[in-house]
Amino acid sequence: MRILFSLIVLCVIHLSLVAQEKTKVRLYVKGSSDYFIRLDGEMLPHTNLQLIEPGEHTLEVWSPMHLLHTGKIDVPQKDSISYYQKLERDPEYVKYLFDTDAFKRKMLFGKTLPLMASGAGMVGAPIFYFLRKRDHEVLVKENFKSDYNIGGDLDNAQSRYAISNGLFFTSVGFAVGGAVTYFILRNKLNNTEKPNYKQKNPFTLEDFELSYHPLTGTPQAGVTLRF
Amino acid sequence: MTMMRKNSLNKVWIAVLTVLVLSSCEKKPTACLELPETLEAGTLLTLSSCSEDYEFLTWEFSDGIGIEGEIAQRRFEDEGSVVIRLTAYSDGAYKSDQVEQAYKISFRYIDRFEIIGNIPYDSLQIDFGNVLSFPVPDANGRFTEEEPLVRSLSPYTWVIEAERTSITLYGINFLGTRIPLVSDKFNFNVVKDNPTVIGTEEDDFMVKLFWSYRPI
Repeated sequence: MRILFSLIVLCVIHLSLVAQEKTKVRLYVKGSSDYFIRLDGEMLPHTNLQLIEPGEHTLEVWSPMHLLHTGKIDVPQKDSISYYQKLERDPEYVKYLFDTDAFKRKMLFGKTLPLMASGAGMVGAPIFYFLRKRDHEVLVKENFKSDYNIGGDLDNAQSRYAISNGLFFTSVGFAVGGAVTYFILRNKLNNTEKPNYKQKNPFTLEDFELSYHPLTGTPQAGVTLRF
Repeated sequence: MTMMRKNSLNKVWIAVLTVLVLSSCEKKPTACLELPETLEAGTLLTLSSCSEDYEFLTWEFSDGIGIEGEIAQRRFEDEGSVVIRLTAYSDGAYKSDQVEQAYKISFRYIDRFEIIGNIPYDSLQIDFGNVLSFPVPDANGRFTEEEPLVRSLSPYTWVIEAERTSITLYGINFLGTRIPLVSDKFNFNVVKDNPTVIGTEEDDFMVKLFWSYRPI
């Protein structure tokens, strides 16, 4: 019994000595908060505090939309060290962002705004048509009253008619202009492809499975990736 | 330009044309005046039109008066002529039609009285309100519809007042006393009959008042 106890104590002492041989490495990755680290071909757990044996190691850091960083890390025989690594944005992704902005702008000016203008014009034109009609009638009556000095407010009628006239023709202009612009640009926009970013990542697809979620009634996909 | 784009543009123009056609398919109004050739002076006239498909009307008179409305109420104080311009406007007043017509304006003048009945008096008197009084001499006799007793007046001298007026036929006896034979009250604003009859066939006496407008 004593011998067994002594052995356990020795094992614990040995293990603690082994642990003390590794260095605590605090990894700081600048550029992304979501990253993966591979040390000498082995994936490290998702934490920035790692226990690494002293010596030179191959370190790979990767984050989505960033370039894979491959480098060497020289871990000294110390209690703890800090390691900083900045990840570079994938130029393809930066180009994708610019292209997406340009695509959105094209869609906005070639499709969304003309359709909105046309829609607003089509809704507004009938309303302003009736307002204009009513104001024109009032204007003709006020003109008549003014000609024969029987009261009325000609100035007010004139300004009201000018406003409703302007609103009506603006609405018609929006409706026609928007629709014409949309139809002229439609084919051009239909031929414009939406920008696409193909992520080049260091993962290997190990397993892919398509199934059906019984509760939500939607299809679901499951993937197993290896870094 | 592709065929598809042509079709799309055609659809837009068809829609625009439809809106324009719909907005312009409102009926054009027709202005119409159906008034007597002569309008009576000194009385309040209510002028109405026979216009169609209109929203509102304007009346313009050559004496500088303008009235907007379905009817026009005018009182002409002087004789002469007037040109009436009637304009009928559509809903929104984008379409209109106009008619212009000249009218004579004259008072109504008493031309003559015709008296029917068996008259036992040498003379008669016709009182027109409290203002006018017309003596009728040599009245004794029997007068019928075919051969009445006629009392003519100088032409275009005696104006029929538009207010409510009583007309009375009196017989004058040898003592000079007036005996009322037949009487009636008229509102000449409303009564436009020519002749205007005082009394009925059931009465012993009947007076017919003939009137005319002055030719201008």
